[in-house]
Amino acid sequence: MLSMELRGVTKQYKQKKAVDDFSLKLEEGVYGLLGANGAGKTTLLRMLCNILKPTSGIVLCNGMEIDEMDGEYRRILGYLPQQFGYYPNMTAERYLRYLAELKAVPPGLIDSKIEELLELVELSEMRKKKIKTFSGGMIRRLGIAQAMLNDPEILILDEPTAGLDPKERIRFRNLISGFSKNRIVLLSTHIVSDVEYIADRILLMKQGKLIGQGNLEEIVEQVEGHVWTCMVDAQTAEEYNRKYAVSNLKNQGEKVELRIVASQKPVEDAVSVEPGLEDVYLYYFEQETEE
Amino acid sequence: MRALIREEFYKIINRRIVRVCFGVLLLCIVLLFIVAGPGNERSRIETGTETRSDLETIRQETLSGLAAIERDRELAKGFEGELTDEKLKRMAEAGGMLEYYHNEESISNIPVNGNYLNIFLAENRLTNGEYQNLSDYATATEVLPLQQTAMGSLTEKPIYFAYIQGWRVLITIMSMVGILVSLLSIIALSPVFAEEYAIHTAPILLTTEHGKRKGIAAKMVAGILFSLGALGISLCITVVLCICCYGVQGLNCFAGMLDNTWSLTEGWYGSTSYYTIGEFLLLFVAVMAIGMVMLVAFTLFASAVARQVYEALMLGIVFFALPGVIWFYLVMGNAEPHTQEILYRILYCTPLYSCMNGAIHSAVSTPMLLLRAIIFLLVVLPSIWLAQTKYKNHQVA
Ligand SMILES: Nc1ncnc2c1ncn2[C@@H]1O[C@H](COP(=O)(O)OP(=O)(O)OP(=O)(O)O)[C@@H](O)[C@H]1O
Ligand SMILES: [Mg+2]
Repeated sequence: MLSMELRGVTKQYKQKKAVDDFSLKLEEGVYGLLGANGAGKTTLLRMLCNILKPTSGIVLCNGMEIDEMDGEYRRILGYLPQQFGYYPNMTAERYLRYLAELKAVPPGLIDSKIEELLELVELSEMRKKKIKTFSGGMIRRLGIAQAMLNDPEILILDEPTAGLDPKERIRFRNLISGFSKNRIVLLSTHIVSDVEYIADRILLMKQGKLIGQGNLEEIVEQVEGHVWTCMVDAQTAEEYNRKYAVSNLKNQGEKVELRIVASQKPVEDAVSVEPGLEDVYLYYFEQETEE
Repeated sequence: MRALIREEFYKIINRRIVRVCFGVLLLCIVLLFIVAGPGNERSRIETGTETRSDLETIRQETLSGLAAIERDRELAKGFEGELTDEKLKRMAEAGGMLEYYHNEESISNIPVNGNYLNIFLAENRLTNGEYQNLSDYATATEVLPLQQTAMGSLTEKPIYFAYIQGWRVLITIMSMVGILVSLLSIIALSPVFAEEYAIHTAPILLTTEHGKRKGIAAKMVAGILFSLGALGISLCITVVLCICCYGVQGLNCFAGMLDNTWSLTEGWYGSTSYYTIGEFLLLFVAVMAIGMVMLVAFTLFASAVARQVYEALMLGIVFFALPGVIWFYLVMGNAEPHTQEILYRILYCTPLYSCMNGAIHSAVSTPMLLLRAIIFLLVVLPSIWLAQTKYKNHQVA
């Protein structure tokens, strides 16, 4: 069975510890890496792809260090960077063909693979068009297609849904769900709903550290009893919004209904309610708006 | 691997700047050829004397351009073959002796009646006249016995005469073609690695199976193919132009006739004077190709260590042009003779001087060939090694 392991992985930049003693075991399934801006997600994923060396700690795949596995590891890896690079003057098809060659897709399969993926990300029509004529969302989809060219057993996607419209987002979820059997899919995002629907396990990352993990229920459970609603007037709402982590704010005529995430009951007449993943996000990342 | 090389090659030639530069290069070749070739040709012969207002002047007929080439070729054709003393005499009769008009203002001697035959005799010092001696030029009165001339005395081999003007034009233009193709190569190849960093494709390429091995080799091979291909195409065009205008005769003449230096230096530099022109041309192309590979290797290294394309471009240009700067420094007499001597030898082995026909003439001694081989390896091996290491270990941060 496929497995990956991070042992005490740390990345120290001059001023900043981007990833801080991160240990984790991954087995087959879809993982959603959730964290605020600057939490260290991208840095972590780069180290998982072996394009950034950890300051300390090791990354193992099936018990072997990925750096030693070299080409063997890259053969089963698919990666979509947060900042997806492409050649503006190449056509989508040519770009995919080039990467298919680099990924050692057998020559006989390249055409059908490209066909299939373009279909999956709905870019068949654009295959002969230069990438520079693509919209942001189309480029993102091309990036997703490129990551999957070699049928990777380990698929690492850094904010795959950034810039996708809701329809494409749903399509993406289905794509990943269909793909993830017997594979490790690790995707980072700060869009809660992405994770909510497709991730088997959710990883919460904060200031370079793994601060929680589990499936949706387990994660939500941790915030049980910390989510409240109350009805206040507009002025008080304003004040609470500054004071507490407000996950929702709804105008109800004269009054405003607030949904507050807090360890203690914020006001007398607040009622405890069932938490959702959004509340979890606020609960953990409320203070983290530095970047 | 073939497919990868093809894709990398496509990436190189798919840049607009590369295509434009290559187009400009081809245009330059044609223009250079017109200017340095037919545009520069004059053929004058005397057609008698005339007296006008008490002054006896020589009447002459001057042809220029293709017509000049046509007549010079025609004149030379009658004498093509092994040179003999008797033949030299007849050549002097047919073409006359070269005469100069001394222009006091520009302090230069302007040939009055230059044609291929008498210029050949004068430049190769086969007459008792003076050639390009500004102070006291004397018109020749007779040809010298071949054995008494540098050309004749330095070899036992028969000296073949033919119209070789085309090959002279060729090597002049070849030098410029070499320099232009070198610049094109720097422009075309400095993005090979640097652009992957700059446009963020490196993280993708470096996470593919072949990305850190075959993919790098493919980039390098494609780079070399591009440069040698561009050189090959440019040289072919130049050769075709030359042959069309000047004909193909004379490849078996001594290369010394190309620049009229007759020496058999046994020392450091050697001399190609007694190679045939055909051999000389092959040698020139080979040396140029070797220089080009050096330049490609260095440019790829620059591309891999640079963060941005323009940094690689700058590094490449400095590497290419530096020998020229050093040469200038030497010409200004800034170095002591011993250092100077060593520097010249090294300069001759650099990509820039590998394009210069003058440097090829004297770069064929065994020590020079060895030195070239050593410099080649000293540039190419570390460049390639460092380029691939640097690129492979690129940290995406
Ligand atoms: N090259 C670098 N040099 C110095 N600091 C860096 C560098 N790259 C990232 N950082 C810092 O490391 C921290 C983590 O950055 P990272 O890009 O991994 O965050 P992220 O979770 O991916 O954020 P986002 O959601 O915005 O993409 C940030 O504080 C960032 O400023
Ligand atoms: Mg990120």
